[in-house]
Amino acid sequence: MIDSRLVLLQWFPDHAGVALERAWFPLSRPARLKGGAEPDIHVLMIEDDSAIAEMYRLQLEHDGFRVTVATTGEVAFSTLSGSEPDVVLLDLLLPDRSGFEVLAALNERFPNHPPVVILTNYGEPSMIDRGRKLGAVEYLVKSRVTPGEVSERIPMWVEQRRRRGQGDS
Amino acid sequence: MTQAVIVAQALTTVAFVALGAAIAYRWYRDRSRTQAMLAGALITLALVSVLGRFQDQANPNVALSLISLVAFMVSGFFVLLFRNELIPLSRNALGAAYVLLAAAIVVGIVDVVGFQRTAPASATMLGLALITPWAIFTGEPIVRFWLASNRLPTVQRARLRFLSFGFGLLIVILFVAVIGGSSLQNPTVALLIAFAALLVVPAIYVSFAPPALLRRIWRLAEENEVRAALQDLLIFSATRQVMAERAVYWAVRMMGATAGFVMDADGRVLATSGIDPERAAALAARPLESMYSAPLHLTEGQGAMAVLTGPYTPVFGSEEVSQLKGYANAVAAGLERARVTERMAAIENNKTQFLNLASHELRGPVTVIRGYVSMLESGMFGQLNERGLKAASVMAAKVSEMNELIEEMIEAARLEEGGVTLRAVASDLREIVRSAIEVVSPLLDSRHRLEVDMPERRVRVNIDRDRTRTIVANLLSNAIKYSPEGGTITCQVRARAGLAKVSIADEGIGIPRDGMATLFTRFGRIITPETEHLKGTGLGLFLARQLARLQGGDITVASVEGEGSTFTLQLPLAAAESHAAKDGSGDGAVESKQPRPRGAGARAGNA
Repeated sequence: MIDSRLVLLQWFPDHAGVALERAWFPLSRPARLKGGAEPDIHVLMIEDDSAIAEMYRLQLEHDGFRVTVATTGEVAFSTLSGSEPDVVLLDLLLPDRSGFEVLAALNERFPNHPPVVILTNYGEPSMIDRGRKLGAVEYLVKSRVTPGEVSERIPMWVEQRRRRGQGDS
Repeated sequence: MTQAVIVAQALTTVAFVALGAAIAYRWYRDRSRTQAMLAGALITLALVSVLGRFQDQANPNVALSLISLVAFMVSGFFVLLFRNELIPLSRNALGAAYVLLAAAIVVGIVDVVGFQRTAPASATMLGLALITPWAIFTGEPIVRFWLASNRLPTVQRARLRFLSFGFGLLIVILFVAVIGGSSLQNPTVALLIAFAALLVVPAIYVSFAPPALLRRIWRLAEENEVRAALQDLLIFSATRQVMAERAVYWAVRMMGATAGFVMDADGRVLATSGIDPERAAALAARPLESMYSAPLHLTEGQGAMAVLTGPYTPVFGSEEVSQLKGYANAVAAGLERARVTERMAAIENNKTQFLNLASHELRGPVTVIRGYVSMLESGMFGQLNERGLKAASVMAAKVSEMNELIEEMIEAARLEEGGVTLRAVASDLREIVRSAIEVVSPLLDSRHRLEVDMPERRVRVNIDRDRTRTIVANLLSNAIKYSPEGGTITCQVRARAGLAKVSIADEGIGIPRDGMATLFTRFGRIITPETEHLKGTGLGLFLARQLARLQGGDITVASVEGEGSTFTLQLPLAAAESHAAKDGSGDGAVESKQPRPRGAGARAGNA
């Protein structure tokens, strides 16, 4: 039996903004890594909407991640200078600059920056392409994913980067 | 016979005097430099003609001869100056012309005072020396006028050609008179020359003061063209701006004016032709005498369509004025039509922008609600009891509905803005239909029976898979939704004659005949007592058809109210050669490894 909510999510797959490289959605989810399995993962969330940031913090901390929220691009940069998060969740609409600008600056200032996942309200194909070109590992539309689903995938993004890093060296 | 010659010559003189008087009167009415030059040419010519009457041929008066000579030369020179006003000459050319004028007059004086036309041969030579400069002064302009007339509207063209013809005839007469010499004593020849000279007068007259009838005849050929253009202009102009620009262009042509402009109800210059907008604005504020403007009766007030006379232009007669008024009325109606069209386009655009904005803004709150509901359901905030879980699940379902609506709105706005990009891949339509059935199967209940009828062979299409699945799922969910009493829903896939077809038939409430027109329009939901309780945005079919059309297909419908509807999605089949190439490659991932028997699997509600 198919979960009826997932049915509706399938309604507008991909073009509505969820850039799926693999069909992880809705049925073939990776095995859930429960909180605590990777206790040392640090997530930097760049998000100015406090309701959303707080919700994600609850979920991610519940799942055992360390979470820092930056409400502007500037705050994010100072956070990145001080510590090294393992993954960045990036909103596109920020008070001081666009998420794309943040990502471009990240590429320039921190060439080995952690994987960046764009998490936004906008799912236009052109924006997805732009995000991809700037090196985002994933482009997600907020309303299409739940914090739980994002949390589940975090270890995978970190692992991908770790493996790639090893391959490079 | 001699009598006849005398009468004809007298008549010619009278005609030239009348011509001079007519142009003098015109000049008095309109004191432009151009008019002055033409008046100068014709009045001096009349003077030459009159002085010739008083001259005793046997014993010529020297003073009279001198005045005649200078007047004659000057008349030719005025024609050149007239040309200079219309088509400016270079400084050098003008300088050379002055030198030639002076030289010709000197030669003339020497001729008159010194030789007194003793020997016929030298008289001819001297005559030629006098009329050649005159022929140059007038000949050059008439050639230029004739050439320039080719690009002009018919009225101006005819007028310039008559002017050229008149002066051309004069040149010919003069050369014949001088070269012919004594043979002109023959009364028949003299009579012919007199008549030819007489012919010059009306030709030149109509060139500067064409009668209404003549103008009308000249215009006749162009009028049909104008009428056709007017029709295009009124019906097809996309904006008021375009409409006004085309309207004023044709007004200028039709009236044979030199320039024109359209003024909006607020006094703003909407369009111009042959004049720059600043000048038009100045004229709109302070109209000239040589300008005629017809009122444009617009909803916002009175605008105007103005045309300006120029050197080639007739002074507008009552016929032109009434014609322009009629034309202006048509244009005003056209402008009103364009305004309504523009306004509607703006409203549509606003609607699309609103749709886009609202849907993106809605995503924020939906994200938070959806996120917390999922967290509640997962037990993150403590295990919910059964009722709590049920409430959370209802909330989750409703939020998903909202989400679906938002996505539909965004997709609709994207379609309206032309921002949809398709990703066509070689696919088997049967697979897409199967996945669409999977999507909607939770919506089926025990009253519905879904029958699926698909061909054995692959149905190869080059399409955007996700969007095609959206279309089919939409048609299927409509079939379920609009057959509340249940019944059989048939989903049939066929490939024939280059077309792949998916027909979805239900036994539901059907579509009322008058609803067909709005069925596929944006928000075009048909509300009847049977459907008013059903949820829907009226975007589904709009999106489905638009997405089908973007892929080179379409959606058609056949329905009988109360008996059911059949929606058919048709898509172009992939070309034969592309089958072989794609075989086993692109389709592999999508191809289902579990062949489903017909109708099975989708028979929902039995579980």
